[in-house]
Amino acid sequence: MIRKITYGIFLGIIVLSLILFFAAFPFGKNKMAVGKYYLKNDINQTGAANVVTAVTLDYRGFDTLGEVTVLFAAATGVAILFYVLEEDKKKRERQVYPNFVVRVGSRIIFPFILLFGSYIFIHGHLTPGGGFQGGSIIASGFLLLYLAYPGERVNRSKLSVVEGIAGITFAGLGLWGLFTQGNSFLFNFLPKGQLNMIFSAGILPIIYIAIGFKVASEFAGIVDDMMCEAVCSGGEK
Amino acid sequence: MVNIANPILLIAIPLLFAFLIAVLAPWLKKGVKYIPVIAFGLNLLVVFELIPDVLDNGIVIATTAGIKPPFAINVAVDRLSLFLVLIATLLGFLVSIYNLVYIKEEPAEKFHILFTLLVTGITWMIVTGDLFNMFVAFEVTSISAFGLVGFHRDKDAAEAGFKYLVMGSIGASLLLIGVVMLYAATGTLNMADIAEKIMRFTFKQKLLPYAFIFTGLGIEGALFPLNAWLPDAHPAAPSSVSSILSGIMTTAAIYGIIRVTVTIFNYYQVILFLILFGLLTLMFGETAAFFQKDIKRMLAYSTIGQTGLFFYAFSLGSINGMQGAFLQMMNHSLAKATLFLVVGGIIFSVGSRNIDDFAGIGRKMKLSAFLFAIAAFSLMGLPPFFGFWSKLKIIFATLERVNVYTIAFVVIVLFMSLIEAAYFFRVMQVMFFKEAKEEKEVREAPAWMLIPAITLVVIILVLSFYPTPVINFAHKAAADLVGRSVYINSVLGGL
Repeated sequence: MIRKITYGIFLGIIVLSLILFFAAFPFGKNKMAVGKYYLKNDINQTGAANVVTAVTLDYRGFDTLGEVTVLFAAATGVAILFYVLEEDKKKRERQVYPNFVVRVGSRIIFPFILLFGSYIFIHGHLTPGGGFQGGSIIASGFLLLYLAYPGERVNRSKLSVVEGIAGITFAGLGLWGLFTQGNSFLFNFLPKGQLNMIFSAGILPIIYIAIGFKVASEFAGIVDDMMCEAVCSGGEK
Repeated sequence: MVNIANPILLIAIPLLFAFLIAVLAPWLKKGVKYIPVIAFGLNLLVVFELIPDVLDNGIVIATTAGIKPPFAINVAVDRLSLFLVLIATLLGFLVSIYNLVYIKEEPAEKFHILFTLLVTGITWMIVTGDLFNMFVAFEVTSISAFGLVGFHRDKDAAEAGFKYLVMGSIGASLLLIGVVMLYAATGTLNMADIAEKIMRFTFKQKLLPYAFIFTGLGIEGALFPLNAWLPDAHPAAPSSVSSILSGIMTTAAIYGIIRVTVTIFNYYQVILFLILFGLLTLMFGETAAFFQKDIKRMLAYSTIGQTGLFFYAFSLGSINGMQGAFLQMMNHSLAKATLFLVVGGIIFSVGSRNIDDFAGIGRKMKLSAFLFAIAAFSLMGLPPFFGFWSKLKIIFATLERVNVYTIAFVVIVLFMSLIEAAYFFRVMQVMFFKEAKEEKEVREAPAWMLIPAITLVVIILVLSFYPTPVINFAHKAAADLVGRSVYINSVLGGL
């Protein structure tokens, strides 16, 4: 009881201070100097029709590199915590497969999920969405396959390679801009192209495609680790 | 000729290599452990290239995306950041050498990835010039630390990792709320830009965002009521990770608090409050360390105490106080990293973390025991070691104004140093003068695990006998920090 009251008091303090603060400084009312600059200069400077993408990948692209790294660290951490030694792995018991509808349905729907996810991240600089969203959609396709076929596994080393290559692409593009032109990390060195076309906005679509692959392989890896924890180790019931 | 004196490389290079580990791991399972050594070796080169630039100009700034701050993220290395980045990179390089033989457990390649990301995140936190970017770096650091703390996957590690995960995530959320508040109030995220815009704010308007950011970073920096995770997490992690966590990660979080308090908020009204935090942390850490039987737990509590000491010195608010704090940070980083590395080697051979089982080590592992002794002497501030100069500086800085309070502070600091000396001498007494109960075959740790510790001890010894350049440098760093104008004007005006 005392514990709950203490939690309540702390939560109350946080909520109260948020209310007090945002009553004094209402969010986004005509004072986001930086935001105005982005809206005005987005098309000239980045060539991206989607201003959100321009902010996340160009003006604050360094943050996005950080977010990608956070996800990478999280996926690697999950892999460490759920690691099962080769000799501890139980022989795969006869699996009880889900029913026919789930198995066949997931096979039919999986390519469409892949297509939709890729569409989202390839068009990240034009339409809402981007690498993170597209990647998560693709990973949800993998989750579906795992639910339909609990005994099967994806090839982990291939996922790891895809993950690494995508990360190298992102960091490498940044370094390329730094060393060849502009002397600035993540400099947009490719031509801006024509607005609203798929080949526009310079390096932005390439980065989003890399992020899409990276996020998809990382989430698929996390799903695989958790499935393996449940299936390979046998587990005490 | 490509200019490599660019602080962004400090982050980009190790990230690139961390991703490379993931690509190469399926084929080069044994070889990937050398990649962190290469990455941090290159980083060390970049830091050495940066030193003359920072000494000449006081600050080096790099932009991203070819757009000038505050519209794009920038990276700024002034004297204080350089000081800490040098330590972080050096420790990263030496500890990754240590990892070559130390890490035998599977999945080793994942360990090396997370280790690289941990040190990168710490470096990132120190060099960034953007508040939200600092939050991202904080996340990179703490999420890799969660995984590494749980690396052994036994009961202790799981418990410690989970505790750390919960507290660290609460800390990150509070930090994020604070950053959002500042963004709502000033409309910008660049540290220098916020600093300029926040000048017209009153004490009360600054208080809430400051409180959130302070608490968020304070959890990672293990300030007194917020440090419940540390005494579990640091010992549960592999020793090489403990040496990074204790040696530089808590320090980096305290650096965040310093940067926010002085450069952004210019907030001298809260200083008395911060002194209280520093002293409480110091007293709690040292007293708790005194009662520990587990050597790694003892060192972890000692980290809390030392953090309290340099946080106290910083919160004196004077240039001399901050100078003392920076020197003590350096002393603590070098000495505590050495202690954890050496203790890791001893545990490797003896197979126990209990201090009583270390009897007779002084004769069987002469070199390790000797390295332990030197690092411990420096940590507790025995003359003529480096720690003596930094503690002396802190005491002089306290006594700049002599009154009842400052004398009480000095008495507390001295008394706590005494307790610190007591528990380190107790360990050494067991190591050197106690006979082992049963004769056990104990061999010296492998050479590659000793070399990093030897290097650190050599650095400590050099600093002990030639402290003047570092002391002068720390003074300039403190003066630049308090002056603020160098940082703010060069980020916003220059380029």
